[in-house]
Amino acid sequence: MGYKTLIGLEIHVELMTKKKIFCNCKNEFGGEVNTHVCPVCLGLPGALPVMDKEALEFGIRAGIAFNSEIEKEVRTDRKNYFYPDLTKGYQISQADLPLCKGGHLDIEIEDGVKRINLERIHIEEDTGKQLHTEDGTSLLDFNRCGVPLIEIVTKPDINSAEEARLFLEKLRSTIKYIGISDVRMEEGSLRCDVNINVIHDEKKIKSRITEVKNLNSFRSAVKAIEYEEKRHKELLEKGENTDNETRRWDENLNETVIMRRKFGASDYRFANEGDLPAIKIEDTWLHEIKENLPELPHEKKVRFMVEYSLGHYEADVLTGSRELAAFFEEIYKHVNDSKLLSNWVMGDVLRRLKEEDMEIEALHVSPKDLADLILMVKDGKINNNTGKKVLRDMFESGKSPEIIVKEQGLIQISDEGALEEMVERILDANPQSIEDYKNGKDRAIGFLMGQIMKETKGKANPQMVNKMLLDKISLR
Amino acid sequence: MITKDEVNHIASIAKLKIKDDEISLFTEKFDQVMSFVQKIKEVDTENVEPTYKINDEDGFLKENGESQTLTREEVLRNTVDTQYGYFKILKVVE
Ligand SMILES: [Zn+2]
Repeated sequence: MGYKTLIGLEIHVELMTKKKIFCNCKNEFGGEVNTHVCPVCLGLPGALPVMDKEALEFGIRAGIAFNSEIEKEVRTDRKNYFYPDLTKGYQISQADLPLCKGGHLDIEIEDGVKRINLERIHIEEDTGKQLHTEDGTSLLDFNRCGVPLIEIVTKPDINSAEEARLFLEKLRSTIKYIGISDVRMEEGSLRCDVNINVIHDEKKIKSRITEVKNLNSFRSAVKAIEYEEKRHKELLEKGENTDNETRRWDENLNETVIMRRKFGASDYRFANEGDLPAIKIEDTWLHEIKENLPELPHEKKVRFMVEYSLGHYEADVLTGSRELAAFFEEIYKHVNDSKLLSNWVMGDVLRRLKEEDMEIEALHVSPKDLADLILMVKDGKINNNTGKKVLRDMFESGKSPEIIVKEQGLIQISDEGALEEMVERILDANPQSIEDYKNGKDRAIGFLMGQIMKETKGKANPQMVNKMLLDKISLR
Repeated sequence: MITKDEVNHIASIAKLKIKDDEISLFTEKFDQVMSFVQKIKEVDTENVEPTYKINDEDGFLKENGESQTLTREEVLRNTVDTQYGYFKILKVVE
């Protein structure tokens, strides 16, 4: 069997509420330094927190989306630690009674569906932001201090870097679906810490858990996991072990480096937050939140499989984001051919997004224009290859397919007389190819087709030309 | 009994510097607190619901309240050093 890797993730998600979690300062990314700050989020003496309704609702939405059990009464605790990004000396968080208990998220791995169970989801406040300068000082901005966060903690059900990546992607798309965060890792609205160790069942050995922080992208999470997996195994092989420590991923060194000994829960001296009385979550409110939740990814996937007769895989990809799914459904209204449509979207469109590393929202091509293009190909106005060329042009210029086809004169030549004349001429000029074909070299047809496409600048109707070539060769 | 190491650990997470000759003072005081807690532990709490609230009132949520956001000048008023609108401090490495 060998080694097995156990990975648990802790994911912090900034909620895009209008206000901060315990005060009425604006919750906004990128505002002028220290301008969204008040006595509460600055931790001035005597200031009292009050919980934001929207922040709590967003936390509940997450719990519903991840199939957790929602606590009937919300309590908060103080997590004590001294660090300049938190002026109060404690973070208002939740200790033994999180807002959401348990839950799960299913990912698609090679062997099928794998369920990753969650430990909990709790709500808390974000800290301020520090900039470290070259001259040994730090600059502090408290605009982020008090921005609502949820922390999602998984059970150690993840067994590889690839599974971690799949999980994070699914988690991100689910959170985007329910509209509680823009989940941008580069802006810090999604942050991920990794807890990892390895075990060897036969040898009955296991390494101590390492925590890895400072992962700024899914890619660095994957690289950090692979790095740690190797480090843990190598130490065990040498008869040594890892330490219970917190490390951070260093993007330049391409390795994890030690930060500090891992803090245990008791080091934070959790205590009830007496400034915030417990809040009851009424059933009617919970019901209302459930009712207003948009269609969740797995619900949408099943509907796509039924409504559009798509396979497991296609439905999964096409519902990967709410925007992509909407794009597909909008085109479908015009095209009405889900197989054809999914080929175009999963092929050329997604390839383009991947090449340019962008989201569907950033695409210049409107659903209506893409629908028009697909219909032009379907109706034989342009051939398939031309269609792909036109689409590339649409990606670049944002022009409609009609305009591109007209400007470049790309209408498919399906005039039988004209094509016939051309086929005769090409055959006359290439007797060797005819002989080759008769001697069993099928490739000769491809060469002849190529000659015709060259002459027509790719506009000839390929099905018609192919049939004509075969018919006419057989007559010679 | 609280050990010297435990006192040092608690001091370090509280970011306090304690001189070596002060440690015995704290071991003694901590022991007093601990024995007091031991006393509380003697109370039989079998079948008693945990007390989470310190008063009987239920909490309430805020919605569309007025902001008390300060100007940057007010925010920075009590600090010693600033730069580009930031609080400026000596670097603290975790
Ligand atoms: Zn505030």
